[in-house]
Amino acid sequence: MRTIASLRSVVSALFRRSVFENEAENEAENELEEELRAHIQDRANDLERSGVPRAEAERCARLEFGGYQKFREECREAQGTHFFGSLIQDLRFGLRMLRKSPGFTAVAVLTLALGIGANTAIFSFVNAVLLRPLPYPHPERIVSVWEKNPGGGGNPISSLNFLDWQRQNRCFQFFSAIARDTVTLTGPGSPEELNVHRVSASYFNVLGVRATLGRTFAESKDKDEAGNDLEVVLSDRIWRGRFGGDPEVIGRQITLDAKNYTIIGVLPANSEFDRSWAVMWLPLAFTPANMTRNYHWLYAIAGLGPGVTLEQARAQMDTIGARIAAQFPDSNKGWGVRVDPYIDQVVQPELRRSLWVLLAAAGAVLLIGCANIANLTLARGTAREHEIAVRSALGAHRLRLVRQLLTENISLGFLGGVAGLALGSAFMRGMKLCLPPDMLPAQANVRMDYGVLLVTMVIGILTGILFGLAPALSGTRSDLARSLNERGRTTGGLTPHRMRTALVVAEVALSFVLLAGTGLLVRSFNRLASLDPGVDTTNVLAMDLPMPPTEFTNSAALTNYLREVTGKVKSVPGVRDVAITDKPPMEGFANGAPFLIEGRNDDPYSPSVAGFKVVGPSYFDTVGMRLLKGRSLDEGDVAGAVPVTVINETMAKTYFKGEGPIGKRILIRQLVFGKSARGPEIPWQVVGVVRDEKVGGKVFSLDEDIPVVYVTFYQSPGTRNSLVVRAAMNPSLLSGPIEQAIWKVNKNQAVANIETLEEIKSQSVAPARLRTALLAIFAAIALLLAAVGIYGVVSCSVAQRVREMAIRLALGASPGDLLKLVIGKTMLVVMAGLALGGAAALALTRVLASLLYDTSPTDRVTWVVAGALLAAVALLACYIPARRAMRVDPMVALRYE
Amino acid sequence: MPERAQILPGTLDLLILKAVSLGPLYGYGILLRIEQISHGALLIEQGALYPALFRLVRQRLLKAHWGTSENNRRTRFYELTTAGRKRLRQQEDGWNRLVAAIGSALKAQPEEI
Repeated sequence: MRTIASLRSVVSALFRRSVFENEAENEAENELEEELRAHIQDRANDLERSGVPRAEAERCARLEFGGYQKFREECREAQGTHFFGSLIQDLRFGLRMLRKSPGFTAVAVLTLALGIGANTAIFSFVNAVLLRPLPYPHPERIVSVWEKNPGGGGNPISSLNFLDWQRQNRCFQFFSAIARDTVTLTGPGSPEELNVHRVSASYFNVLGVRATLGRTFAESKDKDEAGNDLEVVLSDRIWRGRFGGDPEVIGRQITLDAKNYTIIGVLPANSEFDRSWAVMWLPLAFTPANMTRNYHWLYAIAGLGPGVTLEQARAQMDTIGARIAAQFPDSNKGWGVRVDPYIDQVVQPELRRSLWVLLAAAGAVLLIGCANIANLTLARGTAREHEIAVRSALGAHRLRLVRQLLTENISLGFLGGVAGLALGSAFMRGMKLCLPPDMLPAQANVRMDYGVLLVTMVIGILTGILFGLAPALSGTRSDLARSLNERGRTTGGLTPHRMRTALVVAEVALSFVLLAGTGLLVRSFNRLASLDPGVDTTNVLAMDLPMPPTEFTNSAALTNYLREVTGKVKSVPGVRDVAITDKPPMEGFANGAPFLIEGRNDDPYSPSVAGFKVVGPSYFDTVGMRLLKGRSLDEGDVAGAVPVTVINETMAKTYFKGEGPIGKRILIRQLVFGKSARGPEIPWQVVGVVRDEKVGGKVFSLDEDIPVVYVTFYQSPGTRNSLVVRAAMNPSLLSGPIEQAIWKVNKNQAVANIETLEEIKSQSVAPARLRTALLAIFAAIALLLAAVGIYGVVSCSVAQRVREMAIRLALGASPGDLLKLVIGKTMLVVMAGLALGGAAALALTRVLASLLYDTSPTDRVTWVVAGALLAAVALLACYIPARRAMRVDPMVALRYE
Repeated sequence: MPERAQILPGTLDLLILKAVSLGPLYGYGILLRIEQISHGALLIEQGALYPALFRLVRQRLLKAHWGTSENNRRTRFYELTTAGRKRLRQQEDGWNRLVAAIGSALKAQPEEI
């Protein structure tokens, strides 16, 4: 709102200034008038003195003087100082003309506002995500560091490898590991689960961020040791939300996972830390338990040292990686180090591509809008031909006329820009509300900043020039004599006609590209949304049961606790089935497991990798997964019994092709309870095969088929547990009673992320849904604008050709012939547009390929439907005005002439 | 009245500068002065005088002030500035060289080639 108020004051200042300029200009004008008159009077006096009668003398003097207005204008121009003055004059004249035709102005401003608004909104995202994605002092110096797995992909890092890299490298000034974790905050009120990042002390130095209150972690050698790590840095959001924004909070103690932490700092307000997944930052301490090389759980970022290039850092880390691999082949053979620009981790290629596609679509909408307004201006130009002819007959220069028409259009563009800004900022706010969480990087601060504001106004003014220049040039080129004589009676000038045809072709072509692109995304989205997730999503509730790793000292206590919780929840009325799982369906994996199959000669150093899912025996029944072969997991598969696994169909098909998997043994290192480590390899006997469930999650997309092994939590207990509950009714009603039941077992158990499977499924396709919906909105606007454009051109040409139609009727043509004539000609133009659009779409939809699921960019059905839809709309748009041609009464039309 | 010649494009400024160099003049007076010094042989479109005057003022070769003409009319008077005087000298030289060159070219006889 403030921007609009300040714009208003700028505009009114412009006009106040014009009043002042006006006085100066009026005076100059009067002086010029006086001087020229003096000349003519002097001349008349001389002529009178030579014997010519006074009246005749004055006439002669004026004739000898020549084109009075023309010279006056030239004088004004020679003075030069009046450029701004006449610009204001043009502007006021333009605004007056716009006020005089409110219909045209409203349509034009609305069209522009739609086009510019769409561009502004999308550009604010492009600006935040792609143009300045990393709000740090030296974003280009920040890199992300990964282990390079034998497949070449980036992989999380193990503790010992990280510590070796940290000690041995000379290329990073700062080097920080990051681990995602959840902690339970207890104290007054109910326990709350909080997402945290555990980071090395140099984390904030890598980013170059300081605390606004207190401090961040101090770098010291012993910080990374357990016991010295009880400090916490808060985000501004949680500081205000939970701690009342109290500056005295520094030094206060809070209880996280039953340990007392001291608050040492608060991070900047409205920064990435407020939008981040984590709300608190804790020091990362390596306990003896997680000093391993084969448990990959850390992420890392680093700041390049002064003068070190990315290539040098890569080379150095390669050397270090190779040395470690040679030293510890058991865990590291085939593994290396990957160093990538941090930006590549923050902005994923899919997001980047989606944004560019949306920006291009918004641009196309604006171009179509421009073509429409150019068309309207051309139509008005034909109507105003007479006005312009009169003015140039009175001595107006062509340049002056062009400038005046352009000023009119630029002020229209300016108005459109202001309206577009308002619409665009509303649009941006709406989009931000619809955005699924975590879709944008936390660093992206989407807002209307001065850059966006500037770009919007420049777009507005440029569009004014774009849609104004052609009509202004062709409008002022008209043949003076013809225009004055004919008063635009008959068929109108040919040139504007040809230009308008070209504009319609361009509009149709652009609309087709948008429609085809949207059609592809819609088709792909429908396929994605109707994808069988492999589980029955109706009436299933999922929730996380976070627990501090130190809460249970042995695995038996944990399994007993989980068994007790499951039993209590199952006894809640309305609950049919309940099961433990380490990840709910469609939310990815808690663990991946490199595996070997017993009895095969596979290279033990490059094992295949499967998803490793730890579940309760009732999991398959609860989420509705069908058993295909063998038996399900059951209550007998406990610690001490033979380790068993049920594998999914993809695993069976990929690794047990042509042989029965039942009874085969799969070698997987055990997850050691209470440690971030893997124990020795143990053989898991395959007892059954289940249908695939779609895994989804951040790293895996919903459409991938991934091999999975399922084991019971009795045989592989861990502290990452969720609960899935199948209800006999709407499961949302049960969340309260279920929580109560859990708290009966343990009043300190936090219950987090309560969601139905339907909600989880819908979230997993949210990015695809959002970009499809946006593109569909743009395509709908484009279609509407193209229809309006065609309607405008046809109705205008029909109006101009009334006489011709009348003559045809008088000569015996039937009204049907006329209809065919008008529609035929228009549809020919539309077809040309479709052909052009088809060619363009062929080239352009290829960029969509990576955003499409199970849909080819040249999907024939989509193309045909898009073309048919466009043709149908075009037909409708020209049928309405064409009918008018049919109803021409030849007598009336010809008599009018 | 002798036969009148249309002035060459670009020479109007030179004529105006010359006319004004003989003393400050108003618009109509400049016209009469040019007629007088060219012995009525040059044809000037009267209105065209004024855009040229405004241009010369803008180029700071002339300066203008309001005064009263001999017909007792309030009008603008023009006089040369220092820059204008310099420009007049340059243009006179240039013109004379051009005329001499063209003149000798036109006087050329077949045997001189």
